[in-house]
Amino acid sequence: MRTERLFEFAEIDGFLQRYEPLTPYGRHRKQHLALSASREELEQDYKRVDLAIRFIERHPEAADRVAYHLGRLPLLDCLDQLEWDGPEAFLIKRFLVNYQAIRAVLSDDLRQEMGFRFSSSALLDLLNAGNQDGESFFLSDAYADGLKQVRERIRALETQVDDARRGRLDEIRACCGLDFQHQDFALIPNLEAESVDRHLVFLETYDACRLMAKPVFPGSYLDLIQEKASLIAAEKTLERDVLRNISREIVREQDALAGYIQAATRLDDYMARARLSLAFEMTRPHLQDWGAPITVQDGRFIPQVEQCRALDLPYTPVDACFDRRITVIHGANMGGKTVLLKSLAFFQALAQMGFFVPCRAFHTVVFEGIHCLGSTTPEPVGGLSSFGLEIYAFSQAQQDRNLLYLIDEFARTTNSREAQALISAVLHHLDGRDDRYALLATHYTALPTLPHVATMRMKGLDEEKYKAYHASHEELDISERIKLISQFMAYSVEEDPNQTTTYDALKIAAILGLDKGIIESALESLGEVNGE
Amino acid sequence: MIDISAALKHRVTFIAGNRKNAGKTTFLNCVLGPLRAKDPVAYLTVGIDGEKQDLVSGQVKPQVMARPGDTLLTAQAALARTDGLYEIRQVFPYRTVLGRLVLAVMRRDGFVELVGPETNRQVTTVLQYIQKQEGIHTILIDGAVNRLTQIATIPNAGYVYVVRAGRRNLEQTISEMKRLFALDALLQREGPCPENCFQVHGALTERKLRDLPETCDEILVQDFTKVFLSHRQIAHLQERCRLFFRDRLPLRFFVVNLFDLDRETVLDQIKDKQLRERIVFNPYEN
Repeated sequence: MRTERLFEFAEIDGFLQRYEPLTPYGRHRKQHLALSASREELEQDYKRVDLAIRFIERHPEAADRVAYHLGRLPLLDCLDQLEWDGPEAFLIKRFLVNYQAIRAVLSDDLRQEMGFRFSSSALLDLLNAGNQDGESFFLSDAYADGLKQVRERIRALETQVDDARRGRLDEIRACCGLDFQHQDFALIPNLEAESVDRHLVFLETYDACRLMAKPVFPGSYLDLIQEKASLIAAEKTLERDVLRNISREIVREQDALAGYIQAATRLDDYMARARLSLAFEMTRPHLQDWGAPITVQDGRFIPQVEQCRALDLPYTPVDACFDRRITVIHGANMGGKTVLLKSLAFFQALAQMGFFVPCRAFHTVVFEGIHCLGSTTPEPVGGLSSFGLEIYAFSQAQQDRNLLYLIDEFARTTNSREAQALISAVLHHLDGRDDRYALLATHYTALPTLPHVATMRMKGLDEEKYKAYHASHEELDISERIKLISQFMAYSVEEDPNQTTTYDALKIAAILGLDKGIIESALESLGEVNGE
Repeated sequence: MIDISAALKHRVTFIAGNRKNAGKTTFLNCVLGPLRAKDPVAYLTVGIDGEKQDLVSGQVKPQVMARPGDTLLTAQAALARTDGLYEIRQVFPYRTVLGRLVLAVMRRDGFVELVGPETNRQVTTVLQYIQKQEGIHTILIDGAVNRLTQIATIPNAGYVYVVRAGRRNLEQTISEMKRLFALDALLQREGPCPENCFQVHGALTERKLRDLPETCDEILVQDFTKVFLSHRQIAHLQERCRLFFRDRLPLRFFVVNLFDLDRETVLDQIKDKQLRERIVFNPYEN
């Protein structure tokens, strides 16, 4: 299902920035969010979000711990390899430790629903060999007796090496006054060469003024170093054997690990959806059979809510029942027709991505495609005008089934007579197709009355209230007048079977200061009696 | 006289230099000894240092002698080559040509080749992890010569500037030190830019100076790494208007590795007493 234009029209991407999975897997899944046309899948999504919400509400501390451990799950992006080195084994261990910690605090129903099984205790024990600390990983002596023995010998040698080194450095300090405790070499003035015992300190030219001095260690010390180097080579071989053994165990658990990743991805996804739902008081959508009406109660188009808040304007939630498949929406400029379409696109897109919706209730059906046409169409591209693009987009979807059209001022760029004829024809076409829902916002009235087409209108400007206010505030400038229009505009939608004529555009033009004579002339040409 | 350990303790310090083989890694090795005796210490580098030899010590580099308890960052393959014993504390999802970046705590002495993050964002993430998750606050970053600008990304960080001063580059070296010292004296400006302030986007160059508005009495630059002016040009500019930084990156001190020079020759050319007091000469001299 193509969603770019829907997402852009519904301003989904900005909102989904608040949907924040905590694992690399969840973040990857977020990048590939898509609309689902499967009611079964969506109901399963809602069930899982519901479970996650209940978990967060009933067990807030456990939910915090889950979030903490999800945030610590590393990306295991090479599960199919056969050889694992230390850092890769660390990643497996870290994953298992955090996965186990999550599993331990999940509720039974959530654990079962997300598929949080665990059968890798033996692998985790192996990675913990030697009582290792928490999530860190270390090839400890406990992995192999041979390793333990060789390291004991290295430790014993190190003590001897340190003693020998310290002894020689003390001797040099006492004899020559040179301190090599924290450094392997020292620079000394040329003049001091005489005071240095060449048996203890090796000197070489550094520059014209200085010599580089390095401690000379006895042959016995070098023997110890040589022996240590041999033991370290043996240790490396033994470590490789240990890693091969660990690798074998990891390979044995690869399928289980893949399952854990899936479970963690699932949990991360639904916990993130649940947090989003709680933050925005979202509710579970109600999916109905095809043909049922779409209803929205107290729906909040969050991008608009936030814009209103920023402008200190009230926001009117969406309350609407679209009880026929096709609805024509009339209303004034600035009356909220486009926002109503965007709101519906927003709720429907969220619902079909498996999210809850910011509504008190949202009843809808599942569409196989959602098409946004009209003024939502982007600027002309590829030689097609915006009109051409609208027609192209509409024609493209003719073969598809079970579609929702959100059409905003269709054909607005062509002449009004042809546009009205075209809209009428589109309504006839949609009316005759049972597999179409549509919301069509338009200025045109006198559209055909058809069995499956309802007409609604945005309530528009409360002119009386506005006039009363304006009478005492005539000095307002243009920006204040525009703000006033928003304040006195009723953004709710109501049924309008008679396609009432209101001339809100002329009222707004008058508010914005258009000459009274022009307004009157316009009303006359519409055949209206000028009451003002 | 500068107490090097005190100047670096509980701080994030980049060790930057005026050229390849200025002696940055040697200085790192030199200060680690006294530092680790006082406090847990972590260190890393930025990128992969292509220098094969350190001209101060003459030794193959960049290898660091890691001691038990040290926390360090390097790549998978580099860690596999160490003769030390280490515990892995974190594996970052950043890949280098030598594998993922690994944060390890040493359990036994060993030489380690340091390989570090490539981008500013990665450097910031790694440093925050070391500070917050590992609780280590003394952190040294061996910066490649062209990475000074990365300092700008880290809050509360500072830098040590290591120079190799010889007869041939003495004038240039001292000029650069004077330039950095002059820039270090400038203040930070937070909040919005005042009316007569000219905000420089990108680098402040001689050419941009020509375009300065007549009415400008303040210039705001992101940080000192964006100033491409000599110390004389900076002094001249300051006669006309005040220069501020959005991010201020303190200079802790200079490390001057002398080559064919004595310190008096250098000091003769530096009249500023405060600048003289910020210099550590050849820290490897006994």
